[in-house]
Amino acid sequence: MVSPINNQNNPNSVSVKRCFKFEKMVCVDLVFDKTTNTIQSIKITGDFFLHPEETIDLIESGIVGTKLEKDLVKKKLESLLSGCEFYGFSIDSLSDAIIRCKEADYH
Amino acid sequence: MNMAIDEYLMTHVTDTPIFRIYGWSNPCVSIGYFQSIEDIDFQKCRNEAVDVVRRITGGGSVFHERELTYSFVSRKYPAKIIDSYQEICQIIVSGLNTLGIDAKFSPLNDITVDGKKIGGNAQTRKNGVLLQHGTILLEVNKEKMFSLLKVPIEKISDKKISDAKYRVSQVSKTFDQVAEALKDSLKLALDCKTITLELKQNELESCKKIAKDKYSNPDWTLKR
Repeated sequence: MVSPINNQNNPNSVSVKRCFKFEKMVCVDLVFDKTTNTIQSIKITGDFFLHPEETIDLIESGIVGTKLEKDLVKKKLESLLSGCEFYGFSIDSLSDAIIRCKEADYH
Repeated sequence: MNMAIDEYLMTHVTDTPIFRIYGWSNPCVSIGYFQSIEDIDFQKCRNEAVDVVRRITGGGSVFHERELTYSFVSRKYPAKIIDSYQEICQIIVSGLNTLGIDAKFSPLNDITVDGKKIGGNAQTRKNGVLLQHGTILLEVNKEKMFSLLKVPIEKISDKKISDAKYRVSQVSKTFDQVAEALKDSLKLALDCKTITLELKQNELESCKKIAKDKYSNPDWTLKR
């Protein structure tokens, strides 16, 4: 699913939601700033598993402000997911999914 | 109330594992911890008096109606996620096998017969305790199920089956038959005897409070 929407309040903000089938479904609802190329907000949903579950809130808040470059997103996720157990995605595939949301806007 | 009881058991389990078998007084859709409420038809659930509850476990949305549901709560479990699903699901599979059902464990968290899903499982781990709950479909109304659950096209495309309904089946046994088979299988697998427990009044009150404060609270149900 690709649904880029321009944010009415900030003309530089773009919202994109895409779903990806990895080992489990992962949907990324991303709002980013086109001019600074940074994440403004993100919601990651799906039928994956992550222990402890509350880590998802830390990921969603901790990644805000990160530049939308694969290596930087991956590094941030590595740090936020450190010590967690998860199934249904990998750090690499989740980083890729986030970057692909940005690319969807330009299609 | 069912999710509240599972959560209560998780915080009160001793070194003796608990295996709980239960059903549903009202049809219910449960959604996984990480799922969006948009993954189900919430309005249709309300219109058809189907309860909606968010689980503390990950995984996908489940329509609970004519099924046997179980939860396994233990302080002892394999560290690796896949190993713990394998170990617990094998108890379920072996029990179903004794009823003549050719059930198989399909990693990560499904139980299948002839490649069709007859049950799903979901886990959480907190403070050294594992909770796995799962379902066994006794009789499934696929039309109703798939009118309430939204199956993303991305989820079924790789299986080359356009109709998700095809991948779901049922065991066509009674609740009591399956319950007995699971209990026997558990005794064999853990080499133990089982004691039937009922919640005491004060424990039930605690569960009711969890149900009211959390599982009936829209802040929890609609949180994602």
